[in-house]
Amino acid sequence: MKIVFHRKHEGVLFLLPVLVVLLATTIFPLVYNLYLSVTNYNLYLTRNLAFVGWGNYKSLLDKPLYGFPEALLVTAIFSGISVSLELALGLLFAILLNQEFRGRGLVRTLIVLPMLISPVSVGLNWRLMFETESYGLFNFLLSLFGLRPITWLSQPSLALMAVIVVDIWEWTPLMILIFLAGLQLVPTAPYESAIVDGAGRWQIFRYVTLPALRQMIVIAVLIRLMDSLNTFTTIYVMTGGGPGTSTSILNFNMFLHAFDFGYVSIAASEALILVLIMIVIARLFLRFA
Amino acid sequence: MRHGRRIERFVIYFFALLLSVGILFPIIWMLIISLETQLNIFNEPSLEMFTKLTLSNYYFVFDPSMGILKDLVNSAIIDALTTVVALIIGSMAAYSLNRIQVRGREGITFWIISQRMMPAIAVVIPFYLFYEAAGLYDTYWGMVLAYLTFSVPFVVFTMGGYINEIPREIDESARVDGLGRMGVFLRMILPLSTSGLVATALMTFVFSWNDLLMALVLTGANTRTVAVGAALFLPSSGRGALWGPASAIGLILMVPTVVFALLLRRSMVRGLTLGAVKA
Repeated sequence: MKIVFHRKHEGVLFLLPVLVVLLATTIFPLVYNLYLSVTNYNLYLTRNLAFVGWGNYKSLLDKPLYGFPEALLVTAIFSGISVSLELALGLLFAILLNQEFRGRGLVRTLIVLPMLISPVSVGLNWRLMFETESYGLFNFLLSLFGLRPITWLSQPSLALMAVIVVDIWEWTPLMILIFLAGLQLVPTAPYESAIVDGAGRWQIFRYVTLPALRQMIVIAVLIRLMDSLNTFTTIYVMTGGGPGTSTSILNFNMFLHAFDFGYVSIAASEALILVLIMIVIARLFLRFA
Repeated sequence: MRHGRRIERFVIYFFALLLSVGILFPIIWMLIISLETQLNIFNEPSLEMFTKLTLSNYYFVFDPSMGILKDLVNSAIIDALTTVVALIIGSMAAYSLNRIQVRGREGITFWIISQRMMPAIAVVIPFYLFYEAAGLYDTYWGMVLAYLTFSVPFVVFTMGGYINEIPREIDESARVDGLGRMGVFLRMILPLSTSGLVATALMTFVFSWNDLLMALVLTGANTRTVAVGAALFLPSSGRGALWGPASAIGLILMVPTVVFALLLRRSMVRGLTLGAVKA
């Protein structure tokens, strides 16, 4: 038997499986979260589900228990510092690796490693180096200078810094690779005329390279920002969000709420706020692109 | 001028070396620790640590009571299934969006891109509640569906890029010769984008392999993945500070991704930026 589809609908048939999956993985979670966020669902307490309206959103702002404002602040510090440093280092190394030198291919292959390696391995790896009671590399280095060991991961500001360092190690390579791809598209003519005009290195970077990479920079920062707001594994493995709530970014905060404490409705409200934040950021960025 | 050039050379080599050491050193440090005895690890680092290397941590990790072998099998099954399903339905969609006039094409494309902005945690909370109710919790297919969240948009975009590189005349002439859409897709598009398919498949596998969050929430005793199994070696999980075994499992977890990394450098940028950047 031969089945003949109407030509008009052929395209849709090819798309259908993906559309069904997208329905299940975007629309369904959004609607379900919306429903949860206006109820008082708790994973570990069996009680009658009640409609609470804006209640959960109000609690997030009013009740210190949920640590929502702190989580926003930690997120802003974490994402702000790590993405800016990744951008700066990414530009620097991309310009360097764009030069001809021996072993360039090898270095370019190596930089793929940090972002492909399982984040669980990366987290374990760095935790090992920050650890105090075992082979802590950083404490060993301190001891060489006669300094006392530091409990890196049990001091709030140092723990946050440690998590940022790991994020930079893991994701600067992505920036480097994006900018390297961008640099290869830049025509050489502007460089030549800039050199003829006697421009210095900094001027060439500021007035030729940077404008040429503008589009790439917007894309790279947007992608990194989105992913950094979703950082989970590094924090889970390195600090578990602690000490206290010092490394609990919004994403991690809601994981703890939902699956450690069972405040599913609170977590769902936070999830929707995070989605909203990401949409706003994306809109702002795409304006520049 | 010559002097300036030499300084420039020096600066380039210096930074290239710094970058390489910065990337490799942590991994080598982990390798060394994975080969140390548990006793040694709690001593201060010294040169002696290189003299008494042992594979005992690897034996410890692979001890049947740890269940890591089962975790590895589970990961392989879930990630392979995810890759196959995502590749089949994703490349069909990519073909449709790039070659067939579909109404609402722009909207659908944007929808798929915006999937990247969907936080995994926002998917996992509803999925957990739904899976518990629907009997999908701790099942292979439940995990595959969860992983399709990020692998499908990835496949649609990277495959879209590869399909676009195939000259349109090829499939148009095949159409004229009487091949249907499915025929063109199966006999022309897929064979012509084999290298793209392979690269996309490897990346999809790696992304699933690297997930911790979804597996942590959605798997239980039956389908626990190796990422979750590895996280059980953290001190917080109650087994104590087993840094030797933790390093060993950390390295084991790296193996497939490192192999793929060496094969994949070029297609990676394209993949990680959802096709926005081609290298």
